[in-house]
Amino acid sequence: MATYHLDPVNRIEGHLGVELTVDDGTSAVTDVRVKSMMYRGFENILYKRHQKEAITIVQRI
Amino acid sequence: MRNLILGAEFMMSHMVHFYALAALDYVMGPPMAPWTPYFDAPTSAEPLVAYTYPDTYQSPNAHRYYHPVLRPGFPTSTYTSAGLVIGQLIQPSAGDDTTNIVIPGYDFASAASAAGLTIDGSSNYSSAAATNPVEEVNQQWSIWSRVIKDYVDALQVRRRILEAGGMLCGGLPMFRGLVAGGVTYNPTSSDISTFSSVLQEYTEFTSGRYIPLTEIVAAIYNEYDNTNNYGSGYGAGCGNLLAWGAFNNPCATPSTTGWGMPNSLNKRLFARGYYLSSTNTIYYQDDGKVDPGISGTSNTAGVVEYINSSWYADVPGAEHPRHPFDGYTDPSYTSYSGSPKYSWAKAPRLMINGSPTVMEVGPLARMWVSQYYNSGAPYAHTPHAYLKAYTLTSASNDLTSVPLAATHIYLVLHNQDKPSATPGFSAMDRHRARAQEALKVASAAAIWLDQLSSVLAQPAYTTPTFGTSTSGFGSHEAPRGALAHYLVTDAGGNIQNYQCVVPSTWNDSPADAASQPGPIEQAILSNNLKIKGYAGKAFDDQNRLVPVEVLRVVHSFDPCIACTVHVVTKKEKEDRECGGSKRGKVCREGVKLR
Repeated sequence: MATYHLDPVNRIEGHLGVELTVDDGTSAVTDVRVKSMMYRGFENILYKRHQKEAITIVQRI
Repeated sequence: MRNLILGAEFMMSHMVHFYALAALDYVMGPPMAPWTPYFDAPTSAEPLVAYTYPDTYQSPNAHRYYHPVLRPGFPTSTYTSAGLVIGQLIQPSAGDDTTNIVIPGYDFASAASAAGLTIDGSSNYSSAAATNPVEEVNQQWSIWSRVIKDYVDALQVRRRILEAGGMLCGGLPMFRGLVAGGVTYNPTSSDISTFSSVLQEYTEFTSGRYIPLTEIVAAIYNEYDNTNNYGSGYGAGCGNLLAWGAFNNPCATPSTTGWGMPNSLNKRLFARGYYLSSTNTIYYQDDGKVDPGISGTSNTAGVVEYINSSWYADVPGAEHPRHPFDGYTDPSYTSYSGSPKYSWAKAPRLMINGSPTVMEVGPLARMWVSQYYNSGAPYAHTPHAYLKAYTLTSASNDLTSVPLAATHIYLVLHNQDKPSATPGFSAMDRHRARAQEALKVASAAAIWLDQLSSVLAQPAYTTPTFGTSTSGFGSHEAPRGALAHYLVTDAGGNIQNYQCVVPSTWNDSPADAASQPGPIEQAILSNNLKIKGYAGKAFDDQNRLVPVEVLRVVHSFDPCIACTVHVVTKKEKEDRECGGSKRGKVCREGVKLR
């Protein structure tokens, strides 16, 4: 059993990594962890702003 | 107006996802950008080589990841009454993976007879005029070159549909004209006719090229498809689907025709509800105003989020799982790997009878919950194509192995339902559902344009009133799945707490406290997925693991990580009145309709 990291995943929006545990003999995937590698804090931007601004800001996610 | 704007976003997003993002998993394009690099990258041991048609590729073994039919240089094909004859595969070369082209279990003799095919020693097939919804009759074309041409055309169609939607709101996907209260632009009848002509072009492309291509790819790469693989396709996933519903019917008195809604209310194009595979039942939520995710007093109902696998810390006494209204975020990175916490994404789950349930969202979820997927009508395109392999060297019924001595192997793509097709969940089912949904939205958009043209005199915007010291939510569908924003305001109407639970958070979620993996994780583990994409091997010649199966399954979800991770501020005070109705919270992908 070995662990491999497929990171970053291409042709998607954003940063995603996949950690795979692969059985040596059968090449079957026995365990997987899908990792989101991005952190931005959009709601911090919104805190204390008037609610009518939310639609303009959040769409930029 | 909002339906049209969001509808344009749906149509654009689905098409660009398949052609620009997903198709290259399955189709080996010409050896030039944007189709290269392929799955491998040149190394010092395998440097770039000059491309000479038809055999040499940019790196010597790049072709091994792809099915021969979808590689440059595959011979031409012909339409017959049986369907599209993809052409003859010359004797496979050493290293070619031939397992893909065998469909075990077909009755070769009677199928050939039923299709009117005469198998003799030559390569003659009946060439009677074929009725087909896919392509011109009796045209010879290479399926590969058709795909590449469609790829380029798709980019142009995508641009035009973006422009059409952007015409109504100041640009797409970053719009300026959608605000709480409506749309700041009053359309004219010339806008409507412009949108209509773009819509027609989009509809023809989708029904004539996009949907058929998903069928073709699903038939060729059938190990990723439930329907073409007797239920054991890769990427099956958790089997529970969630949809908040989308595209309210703008008519004051919804009619029962034209929408084909499975529930009696006909309020929305896509119904609100969820499907559980454990009970094989779709549960509908009748009233669009009720958020099934409203927190109870003990987080036993509705949407909750777990952080046990996420890089956040709990506040003692207020531990997760918590409903978004009660949520908070204290980022706390541990390590890249080797710890229970491995993702910036929280794990949303739907509490059903007190039990956290993993839910997948997306086009397949919407189409399944609304009972549109695999239902045939009202699509112009006939259902699935499937692949049969005929060998001229033998009339045997046994197709479990392809004799390598055979010099002629004809792959026939039939325009009919495969017998005993089992609609289900798999990577290809998602691609198919996405394509069919694009057509569904396009057909509905034509209706919306009609409805819009009869109300042009009315204003598109009314001044809203904003609540104070209250909370509200918006739940709708974005192209990638079910979207909800939650909001708490203070006495001045300012945001105290804001939380987005977006489609990719559901799909990309890590494991919860009950050790249930998220949807993508479960999909990768489904049906004993084996890594053998490099001509049957898991490692390439440089001994690198090449998990193309995993990549293809991940891509089928259309993940968007920008939307996956959200942060919630600590709130000081909240006065909760659930169901606040006047908010329209929008992220790039979602619009709340009132």
